[in-house]
This record gives sequence, C-alpha cells and structure tokens, in this order.
Amino acid sequence: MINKLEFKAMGCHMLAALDLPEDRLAELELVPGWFEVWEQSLSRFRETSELSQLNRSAGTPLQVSETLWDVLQESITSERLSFGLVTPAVLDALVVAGYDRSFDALPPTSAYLTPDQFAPVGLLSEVLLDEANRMVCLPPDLRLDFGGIAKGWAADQTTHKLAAFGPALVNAGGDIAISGPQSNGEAWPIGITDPFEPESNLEILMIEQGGVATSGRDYRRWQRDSLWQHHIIDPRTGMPAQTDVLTVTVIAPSAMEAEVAAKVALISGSRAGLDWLESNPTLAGMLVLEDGQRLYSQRVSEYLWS
Amino acid sequence: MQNKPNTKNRDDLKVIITATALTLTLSFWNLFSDGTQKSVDAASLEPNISTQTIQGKILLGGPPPKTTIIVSQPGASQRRNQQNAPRTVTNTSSSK
Repeated sequence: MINKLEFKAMGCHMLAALDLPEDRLAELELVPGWFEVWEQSLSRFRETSELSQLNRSAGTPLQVSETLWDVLQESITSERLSFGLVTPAVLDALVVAGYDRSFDALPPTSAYLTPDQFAPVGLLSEVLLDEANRMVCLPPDLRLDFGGIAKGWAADQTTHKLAAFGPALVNAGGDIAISGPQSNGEAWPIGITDPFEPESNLEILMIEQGGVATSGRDYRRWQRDSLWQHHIIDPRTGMPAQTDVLTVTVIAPSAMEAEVAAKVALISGSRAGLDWLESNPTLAGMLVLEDGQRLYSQRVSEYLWS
Repeated sequence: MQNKPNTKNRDDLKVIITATALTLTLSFWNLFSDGTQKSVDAASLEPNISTQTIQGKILLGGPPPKTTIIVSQPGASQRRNQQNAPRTVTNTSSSK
C-alpha cells in the first residue's frame, strides 16, 4: 500500500510516499521535520538561515554545518560537470533580474533594467575551503543560492532515510528521488506535466530507481520592464537564459544529478542540450520547446509507458 | 562483296538478341516493381501523426548518427495515455 504525505517546504509543494504492508503515516510524519532543519540551513530567503549568514560574511571565514558543507561540495561537483552552467553563485544575478524574495511574495515590478546591470557570475573555485574544520570563506563579490540543487539533494537524502522502512519516493518541487521498485516489483509511474496544460500529462515514466527532475521557465517567471524574466540564470551572461527550450525533464541516477542535467540542457538550448544528454550514458531526457514540439533522447524510450 | 549477306545475317541476330534482352528486362522490372508500388501507395494513405528525422552529418561507411529527434504533434501521446494509463504516484514539473 502506497502511503503519501504532502506538505510545503523550501517554497515548494512536497510529497513523500512509502510503500508499506499497512496504512501507516508514522514514518512519513518525520519528513517535514527533516526539511525544516535543512531549510533553516540552506534557504536564502530566511534572514536567520546559515546560508544567509554565510552570504553576509563574505570575505570572512565561517564554520558551517555538515548539511551546508555537503551541499556545497555537491555544488562544486555539479559546477565542474556542467562546465560552469549550473552553479549556486547566481544569487546577485537573480536579485538583479528581480527575484529578490520568495516567489510567492514576488510583486509585479516595472523597475528600469539596463543590460549593463547584468554580469557573468563568479565560480565556486574562488571560494576558500578548509575541509578539516568545515570553514568556508566566500569572496566579497560572490553570494550563493542553492535553489534546485538543495531540493534535489533533500529529495535524495529523504529517500535514503525512508528506504529503511520500505520502498520510497520523494518529490521535492518536481525533483523526484526513488529508492527502488515498489513492493510488488513494479516501477513507479510518474507523470510529466504538460507546461501548456498543467492538469494533463505529456508522458508517463516508469522508474524503478534513481531520480527524475524537470527544469523550466514556464512557472517561476515575472515581468520587468514589460519583459518576461525567469529564475534560470545563464552564468556566462548573468541574465535569465536565452533558450528555445521551455522545459526539460531528465532521468538520472539521483534527483540532484537529474536537476543539474535538466538545467544544463535548458540553458544550452534544444540542439546542444539534446546532444549533451545523448553523450552522457547515465542520462535520458525529454525537451519541450516553446512551440510545443517535444524532443526525446534515445534512451528515454526505456522509461516511457506505452 | 561475297561476304555481305553473312554480315547482314549477323546484324539481324544482334537485333533479335538485343530486343529479347530488353523485353525480358522490362518484363522483370514490371513484375518486381509492381508490389513495391502498391505498398508505397498504401503507406501514403495512412495519417501522418509523427515524423522522425535524423539530425547530424551522415557519413557513408562511418558510424551511425547518434541523435534522433522525434517531433510529435502536441497531444498525440496524451491521447494514447488517456486510454489505459497507469495511475501516476506523482508528477514532475518545473519547481512549484
């Protein structure tokens, strides 16, 4: 029996599911508490969070928790594997683009925005790290926003913890981690939401283990100077990515890897993004373009329900 | 001058052989091309729901192209899914 618990955390809708012999929620009720602890460490929207303290202390070394250290290490790996396209060093660029508070609190704005306000973002290689003492020192002009990386990481961590009780699935705002097949041996059916008709599925994926994530500029977007802005920053320009891709869904060994890969494909554009997915044997994906066309990588057929 | 009739006979033989070969070639051509023509006609009557194109440079004798782009009409697979789809546990979408 699939038991489910839904809740809000990290500014997103969350779902935790556990396949147990009976109707029971006790284990799932632990999950919101875990997210609360992680959010207090990783959120850039909380003034008192550990990340906010780190961003304020740029230029000064600060000892950080195991959680923040772990996510920072994962971010460094992601930045390297994505050739710098996915990095948490985009906070200032997001603020310039208008994303200066949680998305729910974002008002319509007409502030004048000039191209010279945008600039390429820094790299995590500029951050000074002392592993023995978990000390982090940000350069003065670099501030972090873990964004989707934190959600993917949290989904993977939660699934790993829940797997002690039974087959588990966690959906953290679209980033999904799966511990293994359901008790009956079947894969988990997961819908890919149609960005043009959010009540419908474009496809249904059958996933036994690993991660699925969707990155898109269809929802978290806002108008500034009558131009649409969105939250996926291209670090090369510091501006919201100029791309013909609307959403990308990627299947990967973990939710965090899927999240990073989906962002790379989206920022790269349809042709380069699809080629990049094809060149990585652990990835499979589907791109939805602005005109509604869908592009599938070859390996995605292994997961499509038909 | 005495050899002229023999030469004429040889030319007639050549014409007969050439004509026979042409006739046989055209007969076999019609015989085997007939089936192919019919199947092409049948295929062209089917509705064209999706097209598949191969992207990239095609090199004769080289490795096959890696990327396949399947361009689908919006809603085509959705119609298929609605018929007998499993009930999804959850959905993936851009962060909400």
